[in-house]
Amino acid sequence: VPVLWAILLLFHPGGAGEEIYLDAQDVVARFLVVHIGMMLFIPLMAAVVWLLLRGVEGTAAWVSRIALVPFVVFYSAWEVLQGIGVGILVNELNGFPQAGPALREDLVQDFAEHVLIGPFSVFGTIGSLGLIVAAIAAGIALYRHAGAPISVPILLAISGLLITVHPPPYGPTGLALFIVAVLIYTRSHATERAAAPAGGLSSA
Amino acid sequence: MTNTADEQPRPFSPAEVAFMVGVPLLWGILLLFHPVGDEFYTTIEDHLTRWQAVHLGSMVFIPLMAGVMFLLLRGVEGTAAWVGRIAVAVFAVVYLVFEALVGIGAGLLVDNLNGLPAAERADAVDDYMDSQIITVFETVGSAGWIFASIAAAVALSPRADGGRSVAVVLLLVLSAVPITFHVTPFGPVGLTLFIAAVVLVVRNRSTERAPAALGAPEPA
Repeated sequence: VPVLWAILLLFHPGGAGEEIYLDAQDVVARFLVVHIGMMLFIPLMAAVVWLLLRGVEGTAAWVSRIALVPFVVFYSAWEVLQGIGVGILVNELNGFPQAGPALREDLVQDFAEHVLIGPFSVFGTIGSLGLIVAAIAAGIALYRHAGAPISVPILLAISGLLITVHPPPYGPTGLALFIVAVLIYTRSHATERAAAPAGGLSSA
Repeated sequence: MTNTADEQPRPFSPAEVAFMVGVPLLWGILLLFHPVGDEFYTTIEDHLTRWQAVHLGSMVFIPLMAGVMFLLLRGVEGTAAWVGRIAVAVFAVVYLVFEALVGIGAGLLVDNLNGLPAAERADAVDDYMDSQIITVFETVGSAGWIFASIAAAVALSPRADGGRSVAVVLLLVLSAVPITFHVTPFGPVGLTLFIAAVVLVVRNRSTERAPAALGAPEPA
């Protein structure tokens, strides 16, 4: 899931966000495809974190699981409106002769910068905080209750921050760090399990 | 494959019953406030805050409704139950997108159309709402819920006794389409039928468990 999401994000159209209509008008299809894909990867990513915490007890694990809910609901809504909503609007305005170029730019910019869905908006902030809290809490839970090395919570915390920014290079880098954290954890977990029977002890 | 008598799903706890009844009940109450009108632009412009509040709330209730359906199917085996689970996951993702685009997106659009001549604002909103992408999300998301309801009805029906079995199937199937329409009166009516189906399933599972408990002691 994180590998495929990172690959998808490499195709995320760029731009400083100051002229969204101009940035998006010639790449509407790519803009829409990337964001429709995102809508699938957001809940799948939540499922990955949930799976990572399978069988892990403690408050931090529950904080992480609970934080995944606002991430899925609000980050999805934010992405849907910023990505698909803006894409539809640009597409419809391209075929709307009554609106001149300046008016189209203003309409799209005002829509994309609305307090609910703009860069530091209600939806974006709640959704991003959801993932950041979920990643940090998952790292703490794995470190404290599942014997993960200290690098795992550090990598997960950094990845959470970077993934929420999501366009390249931040999103793909964050997802790469997340994958590294998962690999380190699974390796340490496997080593621990292999050592347990040799020592005659079970972790149960 | 369906469950045998000794593999009965466990009864729902009071908190689970409260969740399964409370979520559709609260969503039904919220949908009573859904603005309704002949034209999107004027309807939304006249009730902008209410429009956005109802759709923000619905965005929360859609995944919660998926949670209710998952809980309803807990411990139920078989193809129909799995079809129900997969379909409700599709509903949770795709219908949420539809709701965000139509509810919140259209609200934001109406809120930002002041630069456009008054006569053309309605056209701009209609063009947005009639976009093919939104239609695809609406169709797929609604189909997800309808398939989930029908599959859940099929999965749950063998578990109920004769009369209840028919009632559960009818209520779940009849509730599905109105819920996907969601505006008043369809949404609240569909959710009421869904609650009735949930109550029957909950009662059935309790009574199903009771004779089993009398006949054989509970495992320690």
